[in-house]
Amino acid sequence: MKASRARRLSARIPVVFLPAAFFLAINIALNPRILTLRGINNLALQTVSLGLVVMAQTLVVIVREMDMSVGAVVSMTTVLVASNMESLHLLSIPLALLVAALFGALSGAVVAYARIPGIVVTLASSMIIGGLALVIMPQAGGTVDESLSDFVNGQPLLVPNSFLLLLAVLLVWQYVKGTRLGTAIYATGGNPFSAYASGLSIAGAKIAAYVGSALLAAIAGLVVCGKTMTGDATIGDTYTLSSIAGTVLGGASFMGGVGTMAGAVAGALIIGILVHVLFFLGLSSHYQYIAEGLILLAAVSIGVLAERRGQK
Amino acid sequence: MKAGRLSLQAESLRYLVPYLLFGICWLVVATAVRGYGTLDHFLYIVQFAGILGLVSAGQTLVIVAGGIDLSVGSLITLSAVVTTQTMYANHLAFPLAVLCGLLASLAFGVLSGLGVGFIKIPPLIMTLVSMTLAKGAALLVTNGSPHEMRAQGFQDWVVKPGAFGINGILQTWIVVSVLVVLLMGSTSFGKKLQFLGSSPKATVYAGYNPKTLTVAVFALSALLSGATGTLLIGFTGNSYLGMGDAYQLSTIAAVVMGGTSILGGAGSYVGTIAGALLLTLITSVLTLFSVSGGAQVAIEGTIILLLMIAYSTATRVRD
Amino acid sequence: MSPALLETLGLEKSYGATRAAQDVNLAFEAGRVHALVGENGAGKSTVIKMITGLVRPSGGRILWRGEAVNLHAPRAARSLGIVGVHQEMTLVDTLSVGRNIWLGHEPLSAIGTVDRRRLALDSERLIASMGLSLDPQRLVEGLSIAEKQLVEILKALSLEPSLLVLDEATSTLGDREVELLHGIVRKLQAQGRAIAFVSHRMKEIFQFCDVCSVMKDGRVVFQDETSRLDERRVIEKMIGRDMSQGFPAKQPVPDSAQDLLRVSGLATGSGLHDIGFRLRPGEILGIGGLQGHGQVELLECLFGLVPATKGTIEVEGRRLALRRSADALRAGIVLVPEDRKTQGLFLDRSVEENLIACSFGDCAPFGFISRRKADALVAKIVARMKVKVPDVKDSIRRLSGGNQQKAALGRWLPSGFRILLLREPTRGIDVGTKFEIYGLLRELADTGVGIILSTSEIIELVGLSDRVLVMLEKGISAELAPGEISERTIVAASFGHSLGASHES
Repeated sequence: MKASRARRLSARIPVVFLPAAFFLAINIALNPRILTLRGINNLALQTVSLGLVVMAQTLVVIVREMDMSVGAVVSMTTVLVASNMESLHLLSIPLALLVAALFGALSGAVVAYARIPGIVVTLASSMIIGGLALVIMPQAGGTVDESLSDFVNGQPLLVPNSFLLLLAVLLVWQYVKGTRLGTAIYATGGNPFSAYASGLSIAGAKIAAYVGSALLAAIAGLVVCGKTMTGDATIGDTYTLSSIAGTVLGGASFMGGVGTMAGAVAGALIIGILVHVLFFLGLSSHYQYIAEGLILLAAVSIGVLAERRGQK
Repeated sequence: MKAGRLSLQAESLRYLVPYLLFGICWLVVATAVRGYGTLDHFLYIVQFAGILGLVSAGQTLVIVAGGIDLSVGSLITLSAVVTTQTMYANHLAFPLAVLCGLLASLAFGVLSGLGVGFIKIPPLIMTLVSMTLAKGAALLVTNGSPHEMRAQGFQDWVVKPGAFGINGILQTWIVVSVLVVLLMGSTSFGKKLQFLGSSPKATVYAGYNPKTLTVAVFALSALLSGATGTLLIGFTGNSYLGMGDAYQLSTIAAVVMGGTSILGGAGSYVGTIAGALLLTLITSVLTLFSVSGGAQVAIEGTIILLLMIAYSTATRVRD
Repeated sequence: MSPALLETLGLEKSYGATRAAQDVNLAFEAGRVHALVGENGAGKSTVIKMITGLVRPSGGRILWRGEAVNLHAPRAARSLGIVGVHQEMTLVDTLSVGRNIWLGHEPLSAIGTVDRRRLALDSERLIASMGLSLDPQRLVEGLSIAEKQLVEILKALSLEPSLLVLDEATSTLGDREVELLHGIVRKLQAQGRAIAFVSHRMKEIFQFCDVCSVMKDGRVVFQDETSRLDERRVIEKMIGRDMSQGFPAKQPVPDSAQDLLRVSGLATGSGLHDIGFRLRPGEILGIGGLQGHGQVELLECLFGLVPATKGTIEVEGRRLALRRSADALRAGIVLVPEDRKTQGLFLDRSVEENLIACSFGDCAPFGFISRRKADALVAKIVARMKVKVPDVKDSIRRLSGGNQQKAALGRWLPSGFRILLLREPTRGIDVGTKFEIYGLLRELADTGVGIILSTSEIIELVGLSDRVLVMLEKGISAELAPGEISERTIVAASFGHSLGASHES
């Protein structure tokens, strides 16, 4: 009985916010310049794109699958926007989102109807999406409209725009979570057989999750694009791994049915700050991979072991 | 109800399909392109396929056991740079340097196996971790600047035709192929791997230890990746960071093209051999027609996806 | 006579070589409770799954209010008003009781989200109407099996079914809950709804039901009003022979015999406590009790899969430290688990591979499998177990349930085991094969093997066991000596009532 109440509580107030706050405090202590408006904006920019990508992975993990193509979608989005801005101006943004959604729907459909695990389907689709991005833009470049970068980088309301964007996405998710679709997503991940026997459409839930994940990754791509003002087919490469680490740290379970977007953001915060802090401490880039690998290993181990203990 | 049902024996025919496809592609290419289709060309393709095939042997074992190994590419690199590094910085004799390289890869293979087998981390994620750590290790060991190779005897053996008119790569591939096929088909260990991939839950009830089986299979895969790295430096006379990266996704493509199910439980290295040959041929043709690297990856991804769908549908019709 | 709401005509279902149901003609009428009885594997669950849309028929027709319907998914059946409560749980552990009850048909607010307040109110109303006191906010994962079963029933009721199908819905419920359910059933009858009632418990059949159909080997072999029937007749029709015959003769074991297995003070982290008993060579020890009261943990602990936190396990006087299944095997203990499809066999592999899976020591002494030895081993097992298999190289999936179970048991024969643990060994198997297996178990016992048999089939428990342990709340409720074994005493002990003081009418 205690375990279930603890679980309910942890679903509402992700315990992971505590370490997130802790790391944030360390970051501020090491680098007081963060407390300026500019500093907050920079931090927000970093965290928001990572946060969106972790949310994307969390959504798919809730439905008991995984998405290895989030990084590729981020890259593809920057490429599509940067290469079409001249001709289509701001229309390139909905174009990029549409393309992402289509890829997401394709992955979701293959997972749902061909009954192949999402992990390998999205591995293949990441090759396709990433490869196509390279074809469209073999070298980083392109042009990005000022309006996009102004929006992404701006903070007219003191709070960074990128942060407001994240908030808007979270609000949309709150709504979706409250619908029958949201319940279906959690139910499908928690116990697919029960969901089916209860008359829910498992295929619908999975496809929705993959489309949602692709859209979230695409929005992250827009933020990255606005920040760097270029299109780059390789920029998303590191995001996939980070999305997994952040998802696990944020409290989502690979068994499905458990996970919150708030937790996802907290997990992203930890990952983002962790890497930043390590870098700030003077860790050379030689150790960068090792640090990333160890963080991921620790995150996933903790996640898996905590789950197994909870199950007993 | 009988239509669409294959007995298990008939199913093993599916590993011959890629050979058929290779033959067809070969004929098409031989007639369409000048200079292609000769014996020399075949040997040229085969030796590249051999390198891919060697590292894909490890991938085949891991996939059949129900997992997947995303670290093979970085382990190729690691083994190679550790070998060259210990030769130049520590002045180790060549055989000893090779041993160091192999041990380095093996260490990460064991790590992957421990993570998957004991902590029960999903193989895809665990091998991503190993891949990242191995990349970092390679960077550290070489301090960013890997060395080139100078072991003429070895390089000659690898590249120049020797016994039976074939070079070191082919000799190695043939020996390893025989060993791997025997392992999978005629040993209790091979059967246990297939059981593990088929139904991990049932392995405990049969009295097996899935943990040690898991460590063993990832260790084997890492060893084979390490050996591939050794061969590669013999082949190119050079070691550089990221040299194994191109092979990573290609090993998965080769295994899937060879007819092995990505879900594990049933598979054969015989098919992977053909998959490696077929993939190498396709890649060489694409390169000939100046198809960019990005497009090649996209095409590989599409092939993998289509094949997975095809096999999954075929299996469900069977049931 | 009231009109039939649902009728099946010539309904049939085959799984590969197995004919789970054939030529089934049933009618479920409004306002009447129709009982469907039969042994495990008789086909009842298959029929139920077909009329609730979980499984698609291989042949025959289903008529709803006179019109043919295609129930391709549970959704389709529910839209007609056919709702089932199945043996398999359909609850989502990570959601609350209330969410589970209304899953898929939650009340919606104006903006399209789930109306949580109304959902809570509706849940409370429904729970109260059943006379229960469950908290709709509680997560399902913390509930006991009986409570989960009640939530399943509430879930079905929330859909206001025209035909409510209860498949073994009472097997985990106590007397009080069964009474409550009876009240609900009567209310539904008065509302003109139809009820299908599948159960093993004769008492409830005769208490609740108007008409009774008996299934055996996939067919409906008998049907009549329950008012014209008695228990003995129904059971006879179920197993097709006089109950006392058919089971192999028991061999009483003299008290002086040396213990083969001695367990004392055994406890596990999952709640098993104070387990102590002896097993002597040649004995078949039955383990009974309600589902989920520790039977599985006990067997898995003896097989080394669940670590013991307290107590001792001794085989022939030697104390064992069981950390993994290999330790148990070395001590001569083998386990044939409950689910042959996911635990006991490698379903994707061939028959011969499955049969040599536990005997690599014999046919692959140096790691390489000797074809000759493997073939000989396989042939021996097939002959001894009388497994009907056209080609051993074929997938084991194609064998019938009974033959698969024979393979799951037979693969251990070459190991020369001393103690055989079995869990639900005849689930989903036709009667003929069942009795073959019973005979085999007795033969094995006669050679000096000790057998521990955990089963929910009381007839089996009574017919086979020399002694019976009844488990309750993960402890032992009673140990029944040879003369004390009967359905009454086992059921009584399952609920914690002492022997002789029966609460049954």
